[in-house]
Amino acid sequence: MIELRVSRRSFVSITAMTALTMALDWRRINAYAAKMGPKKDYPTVVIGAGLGGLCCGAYLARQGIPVTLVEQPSIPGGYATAFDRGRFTFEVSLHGTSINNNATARILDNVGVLKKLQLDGAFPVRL
Amino acid sequence: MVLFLCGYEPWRRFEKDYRDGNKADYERQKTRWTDILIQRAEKEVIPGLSTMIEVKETATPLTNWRFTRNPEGAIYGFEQSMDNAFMNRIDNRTPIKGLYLASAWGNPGGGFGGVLRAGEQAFEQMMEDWA
Repeated sequence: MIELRVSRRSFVSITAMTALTMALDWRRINAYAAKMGPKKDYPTVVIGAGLGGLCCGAYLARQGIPVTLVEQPSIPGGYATAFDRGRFTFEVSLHGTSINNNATARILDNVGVLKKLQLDGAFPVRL
Repeated sequence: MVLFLCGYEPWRRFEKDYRDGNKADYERQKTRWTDILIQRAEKEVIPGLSTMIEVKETATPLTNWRFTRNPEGAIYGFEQSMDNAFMNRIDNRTPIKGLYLASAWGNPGGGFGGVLRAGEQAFEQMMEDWA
């Protein structure tokens, strides 16, 4: 028998990758939407304009649900943002990331921003 | 960019003063860490680094807290421990009706990709609960 040793690190990375590959089932979403009635009856407040809140809020808004997004600082993005000091721009967290991981490009496309992004790098976007 | 993971403990003792706006000790410590990092990078990887710097900005876990309000300046939400990861990760549906998590603190967790997925999943669960 093969003894499979799973380190904490490999467990976390494998499960995180698996979680990322789960796609949204639009047939199910559309069925929910059809049962909900007027979307204006579902006003929603999103607390925090980080990537999670922006993503959730964008999905909701695209369904016609009234979304109020609140954020403490003056610029949105949470850790995924940048600020200027003179002629220099500082990224708050990551300088770069890959969107070809079976989820990120698809999500950005779903919320309608993928085509508006200017992407660097040699790798074509896979959806 | 010179960066490293450091945890909250070295900064905890500045927390109260920082929140009260008394940042003199904190700034001294921040400058000390900045200089140490630049010196180490200069010594080990980028000779002459300190002479090339035109502008310097340093962020600490307290900076993270100030701009994002993540407790203790956390960058990935709750720790991805064996009892709080993937199948066992906290649900984006909370025990409070109508309150959902859409962030690194939720499911699947931290990182740009993970957080976008959390936002998507919260949306999915909200729609399901409303239908």
